[in-house]
Amino acid sequence: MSGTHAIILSLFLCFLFTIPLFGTRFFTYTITCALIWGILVMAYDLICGYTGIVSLGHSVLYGMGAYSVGILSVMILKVTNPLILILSAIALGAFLGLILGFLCSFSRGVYALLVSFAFAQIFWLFVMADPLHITNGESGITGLRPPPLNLGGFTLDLFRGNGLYYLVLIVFLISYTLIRMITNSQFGFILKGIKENEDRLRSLGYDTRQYKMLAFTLSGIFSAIAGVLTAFLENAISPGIVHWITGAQILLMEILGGQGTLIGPVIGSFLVTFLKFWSGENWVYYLASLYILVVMFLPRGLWGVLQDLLAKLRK
Amino acid sequence: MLSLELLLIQIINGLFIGFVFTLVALGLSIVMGLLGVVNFAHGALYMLGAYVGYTLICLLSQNYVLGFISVVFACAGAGLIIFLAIVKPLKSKGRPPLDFLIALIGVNMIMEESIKSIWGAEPKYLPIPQIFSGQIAFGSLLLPKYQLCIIAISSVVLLLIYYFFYKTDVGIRSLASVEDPETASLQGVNLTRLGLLIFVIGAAVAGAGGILIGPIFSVTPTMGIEVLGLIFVIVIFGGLGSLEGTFLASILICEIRSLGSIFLPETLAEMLVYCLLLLILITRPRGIKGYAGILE
Repeated sequence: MSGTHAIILSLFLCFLFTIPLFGTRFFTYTITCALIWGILVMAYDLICGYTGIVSLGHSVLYGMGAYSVGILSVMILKVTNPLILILSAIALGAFLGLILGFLCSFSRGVYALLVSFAFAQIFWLFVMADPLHITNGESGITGLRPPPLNLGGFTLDLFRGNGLYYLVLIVFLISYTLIRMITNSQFGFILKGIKENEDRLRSLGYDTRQYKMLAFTLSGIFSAIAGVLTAFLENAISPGIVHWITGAQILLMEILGGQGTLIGPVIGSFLVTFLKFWSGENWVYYLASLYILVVMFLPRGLWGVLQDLLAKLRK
Repeated sequence: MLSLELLLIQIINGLFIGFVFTLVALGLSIVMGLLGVVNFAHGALYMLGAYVGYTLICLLSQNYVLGFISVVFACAGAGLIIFLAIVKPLKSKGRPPLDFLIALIGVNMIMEESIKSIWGAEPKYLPIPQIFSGQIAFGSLLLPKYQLCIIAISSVVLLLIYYFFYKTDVGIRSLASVEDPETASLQGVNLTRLGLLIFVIGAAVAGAGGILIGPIFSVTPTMGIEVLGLIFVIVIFGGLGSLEGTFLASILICEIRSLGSIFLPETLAEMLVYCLLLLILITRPRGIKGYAGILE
């Protein structure tokens, strides 16, 4: 990393860490949202950008992470220990990721997308129909926020307002580091190989299906964490979170920012969140038009364009 | 208690929905096979058909025939715009199928939002035409007239489509191109122009499906999204570009849903359908017909 990079990065980090000091509550809320989406879309990038499988099923990994909080803390058991909530969400996310990866690993391209689409529909219908009486059907679950932590006399509330913001920021930075480590590892290179030419990797003796399944499992873990944070932030969840439309929104942020870069997806999630909250009621039009333009004219996304511009400036 | 009457009513219900969904799925199936374009805006075209029909029939005139014809033209126009603005430029750049799909999700968002802002979010009700309201008695069995009328109208449209694809030169050419797009284009078939034609026909027929079903389901801004999933199941189950396959798949799937909802809550019956899709794609990763095709 060059000197200028380090300076820009540390300035940006300072900005992120001081936001609650100068920003309004709504601004902090927006950034919290954007960071949570950022975690989710980075997790998605592992599948879409690196492995090359376009999935609409990440809404399930994300949504069921959020639902696991609701199920454990409100519908059954009444668990309020946040650590248990997060760990069980991670376990569920990894499990669902593994299943989705298994299902998607049979087919490729549009067929894999349709598999993930069916997966999302099944879970959405399951949450809506609620045959086990754990998801509360169409009305969803409210009151998910755990009580403040009590650490020997003084209370620490990490689950609302500024406390939650810092929790989300730290989880975001840890996730970024971990996902970056994954993509830079040998495993990450194999994933890129799957995207470039899966048949060649197979002929070299790699069992690409296992790699895909592992990638989905890892992605499921981070998606479920994002789900838990959303549950804390919103304090309520409804079945819409599991619908493939949510999956399409994740895809949209990924494409807007630029696939396979990790930074791009974060840019995408910030852009979408800000458009959503700050551009009035016509935001869907702006967003969808921007999205279509990016797909048609900037296949590498906004971050790709920025990178090209920076490279030109350096020359 | 399962009575024979309930069973028959559900069979008729599944049948007429199956006919309508065949109309909606056909265009999608052939365009998917021909150009690799997975049209996520197809549900929105069906919804547009229902809304335009509602406006013409309930607000402007009471003329159903005129309404039906205008809907067909309106949806064909919308399909033409989508094709020229999105599909053709992407196709000429040689972009992969997933890019079409992603761009068309954006089109779906815009169409849905425009429909919401023009007509509002609350459901609209299209009345059943006077002559088709009421029921016909077969012995002790009462069948709603309008449902039978839908089956009749859709059969006519399906026969026209069948004639087009099996008896006219353009139709035969397009089915051949679905079988093997590469060879077809080597033989001088202009795939993009053919795709345009099929896309527009598909859009028009989807809109016709929308207005036909309008009087039975309420017309809402989510009807497009709701139908889209089932349409994909039908297309994959029927095999890309297969007319008979799509028809049979559509009837089968709608019957499963309809008969399943006798024993199960409706959502669970629908879950069965998606489990079926998963099962097909796992055992036959390239769909029932199993071409590698352009969709990978």
